[in-house]
Amino acid sequence: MAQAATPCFIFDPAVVISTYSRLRAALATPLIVSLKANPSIDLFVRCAHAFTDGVELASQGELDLVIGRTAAPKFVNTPGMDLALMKAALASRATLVLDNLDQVDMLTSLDVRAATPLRVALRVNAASVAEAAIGRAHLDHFGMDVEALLLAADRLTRAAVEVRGLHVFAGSYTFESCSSALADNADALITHVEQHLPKPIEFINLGGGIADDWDESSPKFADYRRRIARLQVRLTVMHESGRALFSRGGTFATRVLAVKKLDRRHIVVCDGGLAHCFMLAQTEKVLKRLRQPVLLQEGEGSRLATDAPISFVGNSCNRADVIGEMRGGMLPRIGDVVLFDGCGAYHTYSPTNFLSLKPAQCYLVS
Amino acid sequence: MLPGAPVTYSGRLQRSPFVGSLCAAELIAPPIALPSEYVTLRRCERHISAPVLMSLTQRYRLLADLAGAAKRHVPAISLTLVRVASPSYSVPMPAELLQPDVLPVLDPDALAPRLVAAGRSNIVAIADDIRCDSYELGANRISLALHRPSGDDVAAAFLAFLRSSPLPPCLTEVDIMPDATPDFPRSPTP
Repeated sequence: MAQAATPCFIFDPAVVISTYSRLRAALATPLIVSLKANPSIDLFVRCAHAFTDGVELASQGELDLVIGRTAAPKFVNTPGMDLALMKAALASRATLVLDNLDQVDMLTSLDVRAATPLRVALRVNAASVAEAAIGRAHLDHFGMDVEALLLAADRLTRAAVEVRGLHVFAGSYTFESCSSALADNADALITHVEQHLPKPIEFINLGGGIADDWDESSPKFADYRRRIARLQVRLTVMHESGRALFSRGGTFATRVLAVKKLDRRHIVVCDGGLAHCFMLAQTEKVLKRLRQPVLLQEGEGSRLATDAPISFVGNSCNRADVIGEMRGGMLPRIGDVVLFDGCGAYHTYSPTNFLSLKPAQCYLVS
Repeated sequence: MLPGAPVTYSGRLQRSPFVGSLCAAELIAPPIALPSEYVTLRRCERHISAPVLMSLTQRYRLLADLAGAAKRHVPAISLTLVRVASPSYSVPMPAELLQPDVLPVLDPDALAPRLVAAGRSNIVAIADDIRCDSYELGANRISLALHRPSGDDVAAAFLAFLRSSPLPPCLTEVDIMPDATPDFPRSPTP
């Protein structure tokens, strides 16, 4: 770590490839990589030989990163798809996952003869597939309801655009609560949509929503594989993953700038925090359970032991910029490195460029 | 060993010579916007089983270290050829590869025999198709050859350099010529 500039993320391709292989086996389906969870192109190229099932892209910037770099199928999927992205995706022979009727109309207004084979899928809102399981807690704005879905199928059929697939995703952390219902209800949905299409649907992407602490030995996976087996008889079932793939493959490292005491608390000020690894501050959680970091001593000398709480704070002026805590232990010194593992996903998810702080560097483990 | 016969050593990297070390992320997206540019890049896409094992900076470092170590072991080396297909747009070439006795060329193995035919001796050619980005074709092979060694002592010193290099534990499908080196360290076939 001595030569690494902090704050930084350290990604381990071997961990990501191993995780991909295990998760793909646990689901027993093709597994598409959601690049938004980790758009480090250096990490992607180290894993590209393993990511054979496809990559999901949510922006033109993400498409620019991977075009030419992987022969795996590309899926462009965003409600924000504009004309420039749609044309770029068509030129890239990506599968367009259409989110709404406006995107359908945008596509049918184009001369797409040069974009053959044209690959189009329709995104269905998860609540329209499994309303009871989704409930209000997971209600979102993605995709179409069934009425719009059928209209989209009709319009694309009239335009001689073949619909090859469906995409439904209930959102982050929903695998435990929603995946079974989606799998159970997908069969009827496919039958319904196919009544509006000249050819059967080839694939359905059931999303994922798998947590970063997933365990392939969980009975959930065995039960889920049984549920999707019926679907797999009639078409290809796929999943996508970001968080579950990348989380364990990344570590956030930040260096201690100052150590002070406020009443009984020790405060360790670091050169990176909420502005670099937003999720550590847990600003979106009502009940915070701050992470306990691993300390890496830089330089000689013993560290002071304390039984007082230690708070690790970032380098912004935001009172929410508290990224970790320890209930006593060895008190770090200036220059020591503070490591948080499990930070390999959504490391670029940051609210603003507040304070114009130096961005986090990225390194790979060779 | 025939007098003046080349000494060659080649193999395929099955792991990085930099195992355990950190390398900075350095790749960038190409500046593209037009549909025709996406078509052009899409046509570059290939299914390639050889993984990307190192960064551009690490490949340059490997070549520079090999060229430098070869020269230290074999001071008689007059010129080292290394493969550089094109300058990287994001990574500078290290100064060691721009020394007067190092020549970056497109095809070291093609140029070396021509230099020998022109009367030069003790020419080292380091050729490789190591992949550092997914755009690149290749199989992560590397070869080092000493062309027209001026004596057995020079050839022996070159073999000693190869033995001490970081390559043997990383290579599979190893080939050594002349095949008079049964004690040469080899990586087990995966």
